[in-house]
Amino acid sequence: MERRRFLRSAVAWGVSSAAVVASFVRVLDYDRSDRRIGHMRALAAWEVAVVDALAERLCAADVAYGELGAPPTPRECEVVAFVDSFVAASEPAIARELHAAFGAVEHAFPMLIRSPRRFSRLSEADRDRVLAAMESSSFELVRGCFAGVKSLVMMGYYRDPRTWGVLGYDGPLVARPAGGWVPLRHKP
Amino acid sequence: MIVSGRTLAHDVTIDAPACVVGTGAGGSVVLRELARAGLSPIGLEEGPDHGAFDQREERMLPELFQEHGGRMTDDLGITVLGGRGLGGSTIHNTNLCKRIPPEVLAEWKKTVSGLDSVGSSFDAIERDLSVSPIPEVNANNDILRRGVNALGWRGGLLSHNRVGCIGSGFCELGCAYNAKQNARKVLIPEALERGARIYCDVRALRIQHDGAVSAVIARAASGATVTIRTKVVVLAGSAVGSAALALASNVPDPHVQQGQSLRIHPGSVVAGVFDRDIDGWRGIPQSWECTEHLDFREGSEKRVWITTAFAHPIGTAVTLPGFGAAHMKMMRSYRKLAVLTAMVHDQTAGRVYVDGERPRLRYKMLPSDRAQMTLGLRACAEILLAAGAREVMIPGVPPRTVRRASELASVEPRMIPLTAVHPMGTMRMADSPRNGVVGPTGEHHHLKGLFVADGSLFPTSIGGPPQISIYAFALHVTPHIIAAARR
Repeated sequence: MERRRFLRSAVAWGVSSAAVVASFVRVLDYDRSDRRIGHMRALAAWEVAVVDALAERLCAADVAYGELGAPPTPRECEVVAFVDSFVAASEPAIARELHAAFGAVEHAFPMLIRSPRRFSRLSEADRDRVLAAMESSSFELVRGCFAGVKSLVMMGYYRDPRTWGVLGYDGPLVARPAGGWVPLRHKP
Repeated sequence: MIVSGRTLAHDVTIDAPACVVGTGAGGSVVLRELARAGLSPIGLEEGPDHGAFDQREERMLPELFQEHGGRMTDDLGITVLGGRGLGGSTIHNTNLCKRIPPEVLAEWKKTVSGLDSVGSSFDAIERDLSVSPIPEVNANNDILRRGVNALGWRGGLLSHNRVGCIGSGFCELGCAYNAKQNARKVLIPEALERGARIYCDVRALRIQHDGAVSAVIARAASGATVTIRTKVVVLAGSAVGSAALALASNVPDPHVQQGQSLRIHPGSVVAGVFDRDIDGWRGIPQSWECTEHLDFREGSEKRVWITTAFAHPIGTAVTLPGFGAAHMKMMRSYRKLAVLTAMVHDQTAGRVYVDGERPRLRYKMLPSDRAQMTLGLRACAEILLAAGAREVMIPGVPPRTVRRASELASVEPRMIPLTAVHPMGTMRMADSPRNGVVGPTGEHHHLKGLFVADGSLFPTSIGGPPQISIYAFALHVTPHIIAAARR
């Protein structure tokens, strides 16, 4: 029993060490010319690329951008800036988990479609396949990670009033000039 | 007096007859009753005294909820939401007031003495909070009512604690119109007026004890240490926070009861798409319920409570399955959606434990509870279809879209995304120390001067919204807390 536990620990230690080393090596090669990077409080350059890649697919439009009725792009809604401020305001333990989640999306979850490439470098179709695999994974941790990053990105996107027009949502009542009473309906 | 821990420049030591940790439904009652008794208690609140409620999800959700709304079970399987800030969860809840069912209370009386008088506590707190059936239902609740009536099922109007409500529908983001008769509006002002002092943005780290309680050590948001020297500590920081503080403080627990027996009412939602605009975010939420699948008699396998669960855009986007263009297409149906939730009166016993200073939750749903969840989701879908939904979306992997009730029998949702908003039972009440953490007075079996006054007390799940029961149970144990503070 003790031997089995030792072997299990050794394997877990080996895998995590390899993942840490691989992640370290792979964070070195990211585009740092993006002007947004200088304004980030919590996200590193590689995470900006990951969140951008996530937002592009999670919030992909059902109508081609520029056409009538098309929603705003995630970049227009500054999803990355929102995620950055959210992580910066989080308690350290939660921030650590979010950084780990971005790392897992970038370096581990492409394995779900047997791709050795980083998530941010996959084609749109392959990114969709990775996300679909995460959402339907039989491992709760993977599904939970999907739910976490989806929540964060959706929050960054649908907070923008430009998306509300697409939904027909009229926004906060307190912000409207007229304010006032909302009629109730359907007397019991 | 309210002091913000953000402004404390130096360490503070205070002597007080009692210290109440947490200021939600339970803590606010205890603070008021102690103050009414002429004692001047100290309240500690981890979160802030919320300022303006601007009805913006991206700002209010992280502010109002523990861990920015991201608290999950340790396997990331269930999101568990709990309030944070002065007034606790009473700030963001939908004001549902429903007493513990008599069958559940009768069961509790087998192991807890003195509960015959809890009825008078319900009466008193319902008067204080102006609890009454709400006068009108909005379109989403009307769909629930019409579906239930069409099926000939059992259901009815719910009672709320709200006065001056204009039906803005933003309850879950805090009330910008101060129409909630909640802890912050009704109980805390009187407590303050009578001498209570509350430290917000101050997190209790541990209880000092040596056979009896001697102090609470806390850390302010400024970094200052706050020490409350007292012989009475009342845990009222929710079934998660209270258990975590007891565990972090190494409170004696020879029968390994603290943090165990966590119940959460796990739930999920079903959305129906209608041909007409519903605009479900408008009007008072959660004003109607379906109790057809809720039977509290012993051995019953009907343990599902159904009500409405409409959300604003972010909440809806997070809840609807999928992503990308297909998700966006569903979001375009936002105005035509009606949403119902099924919550399970759960038998699964999870647990709270601590990882450093952070509470963690372990909860592996029993197969019998999973079966109830399936029953509940099918029932929600049936109600929506009976009310005229063109199609319903049932969560799971993969999500299912159903257009006819006859298709529902084959729906066996797997890996359902779950959310819970009612943690309970981690410091449960029992006459015997072998069966619970605290006795019938609310005092800890093994540590003199330590009391519990929140949903942690409940010996089992209650199968419905817990806020009024938390208020009432806190009121029920308060005379004993006052007596201890005077000892």
